[in-house]
Amino acid sequence: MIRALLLAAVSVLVPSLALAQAPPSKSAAAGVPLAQSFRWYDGAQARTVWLDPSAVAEVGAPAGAVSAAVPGAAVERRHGASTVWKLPRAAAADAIARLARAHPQARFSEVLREGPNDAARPRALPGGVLVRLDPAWDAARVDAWLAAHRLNAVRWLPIPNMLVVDTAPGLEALRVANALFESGEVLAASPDWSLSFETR
Amino acid sequence: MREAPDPIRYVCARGAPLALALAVLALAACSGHHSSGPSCTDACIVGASRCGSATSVEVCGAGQDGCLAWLAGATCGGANPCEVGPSGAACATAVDPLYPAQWHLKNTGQSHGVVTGVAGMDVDVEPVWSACAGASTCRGEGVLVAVVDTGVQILHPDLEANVAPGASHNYLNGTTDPTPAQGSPRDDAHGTAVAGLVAARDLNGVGGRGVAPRASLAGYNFLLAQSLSSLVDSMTRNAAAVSVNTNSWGPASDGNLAPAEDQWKLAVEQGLATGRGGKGTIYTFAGGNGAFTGANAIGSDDSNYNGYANFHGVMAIAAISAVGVKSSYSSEGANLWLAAPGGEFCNTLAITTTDLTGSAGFNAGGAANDLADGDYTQCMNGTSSATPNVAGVVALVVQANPNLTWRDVRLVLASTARKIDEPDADWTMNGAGFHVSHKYGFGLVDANAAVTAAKTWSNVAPLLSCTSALRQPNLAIPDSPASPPAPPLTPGTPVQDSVTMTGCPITSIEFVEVTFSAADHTYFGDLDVRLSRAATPTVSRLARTHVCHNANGSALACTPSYNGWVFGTTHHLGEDPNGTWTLTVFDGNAQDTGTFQSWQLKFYGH
Repeated sequence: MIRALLLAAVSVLVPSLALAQAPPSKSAAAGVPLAQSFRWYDGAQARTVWLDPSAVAEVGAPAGAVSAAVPGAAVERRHGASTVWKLPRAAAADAIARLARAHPQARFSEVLREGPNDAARPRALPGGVLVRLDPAWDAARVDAWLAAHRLNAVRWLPIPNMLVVDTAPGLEALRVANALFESGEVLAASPDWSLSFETR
Repeated sequence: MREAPDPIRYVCARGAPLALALAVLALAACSGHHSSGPSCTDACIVGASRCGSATSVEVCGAGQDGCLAWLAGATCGGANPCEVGPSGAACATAVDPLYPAQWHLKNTGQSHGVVTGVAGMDVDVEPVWSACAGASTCRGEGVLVAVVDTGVQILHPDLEANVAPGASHNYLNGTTDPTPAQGSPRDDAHGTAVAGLVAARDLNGVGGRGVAPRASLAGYNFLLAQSLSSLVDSMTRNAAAVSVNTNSWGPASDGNLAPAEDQWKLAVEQGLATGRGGKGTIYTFAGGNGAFTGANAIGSDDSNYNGYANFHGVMAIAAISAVGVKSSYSSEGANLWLAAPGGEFCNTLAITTTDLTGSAGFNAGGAANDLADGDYTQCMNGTSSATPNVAGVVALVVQANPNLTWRDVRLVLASTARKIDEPDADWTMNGAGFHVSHKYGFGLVDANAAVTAAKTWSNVAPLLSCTSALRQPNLAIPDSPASPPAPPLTPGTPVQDSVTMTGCPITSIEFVEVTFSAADHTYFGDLDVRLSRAATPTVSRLARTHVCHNANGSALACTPSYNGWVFGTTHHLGEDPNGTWTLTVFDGNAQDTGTFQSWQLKFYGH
């Protein structure tokens, strides 16, 4: 009884402690395996994420937009204006296309997982690429580089020559980031990921 | 939103004798007195409009704007800045009405539910405040602490006076007001609770106190945006002025590896190099709430699976309860630097701090453990609570000695931390004489000892680093001999590899990174990984056999595996890196196998 009370109480502020009474067994691992993976560059290191075809992420969509477009969609996690939705079937690509047409002011993205199953931590691509250019470049050279690549800087960070350039949301942001890094012209280029953190 | 209180009007009669104050009290007039030390030297007459009863009297004095209540029979001294008479029968104590419940600041053996605290198991901060009463030099004045969280209610009545104007940032709308929106989810109160632990205002007649109750606060609501760019920004925003950057968040404690982004590391390095006028911003990070007990212990996370908390540039913080032992949920890890009060649960002794005002936030009113004042909660807990308690101590330390670098601050804290839970078998004295534990780091943070040490601390030499040869043993790791349905956690035969460091100019280690690969292992949670150094008793347990799981307790795949994963360990603090180091790996759970492919050491120190 006390333990049950403790678990209930701790879930208020320590949500990770809401562990089931039965000890977890690795032989009963949850999650649907994911087949399609993508590479991205974390600095100079290539990392892998896996596409979840049964999830979409949205930023700024009207309330009810996703559940109306995909009956049975359920919120997996929400923070601020961003929400990851789990869909009842592998229909993310179709859902994103329809939602983007219906709600052009909002941003919709595929959901990519940090492990090869759909229970792994999600990431999303709301648009934008975080670029780090040579800190020795002066403003004129940075502007020239942006112009040459037809990129718009939408945000400058408090690190020399680190900025966010605008892109479309979704996998296009990943494609642009990888292309920039593989060009060899930048020190780093990563999608401006929507990440998954929790309070402690 | 609660409106700001009326301005306090008072007139001081400096040097008036104590008898005058007592006489005025006896007449139920408005008086108090101000002390610059343990004995009273000044007396004052307070504006009549603020003194409606004999139990609420304004106090005045140079630099003070607080309100004291007169409590017959209370004991003077300590946090009570003034004494009224020699008998102690009537004395002044600060009217922070929730302060007596804040066991994390002063544990007197408070009780709640079935738990009674153990006196002294706190951050030991009262002596710091008392040492300079009224002198504005010991409660965090002038030190800016950035709270990276869900935002801070900047007009909260117990925070407003300490919020640095224009220093906060809202990543959702670009303004300087990170107050959570009305109707926002309950957990959006988290940052306000954290901010109160750092710097809830003292002596203001409401709520409780923070560890550094006059420090300045900035709130960055990164957790409501959670973009990579806002993460980077939140580590470096206004870094030149930010002394402490405190982070009560992290990836889910699900047992899987959570690497930190390279850009985040770069941002922290930037803060270390340029923050606080070049002395370096000090970063505190929650160690994690991923520990379980009993049969569920197999599900325990380790703080070293969190690439943010195990980075060499941050201090990872564990939580203790009011009885002075590890909080049941607090993740263990070789990367932990310190422990601090985080409490247990709401129906026992959790932590009392600020909440979103009114019915918003954690205290909506009406629940069993809700405080009557909806602006506060007594249900805060977690390493989320422990971390800002350390941040507050750091603020006091850098105030005491602003010349300390970020590394010196860490060393001061490690050198002065208290060994608690002494019977616990995990404690080791390392080769340099530091007591260290996977549960507590170097022990319970001690504000008084740290501030005292800081005042005479000599800064250490510049930071150096050395890297060992890359070892590629490519040893097959024997599987655990247990086979289902036999119990798990039966160690398989260990495999080992050693490397000898020579010629490293470091003589005193500050942090060690261990880059490890067993990328072909099909369930990395099976592996136990330990680092040891010849001729010293120190063993850093870097990984433990565990089962990954989600928040509902369902098992998850533990994958991807270690592929250049960087562990961190504090356990070799002060030791000499030169010598032979050994990495031992075994598989503790049946069915999955793999190879100890490679490893490499990197030492930071002076």
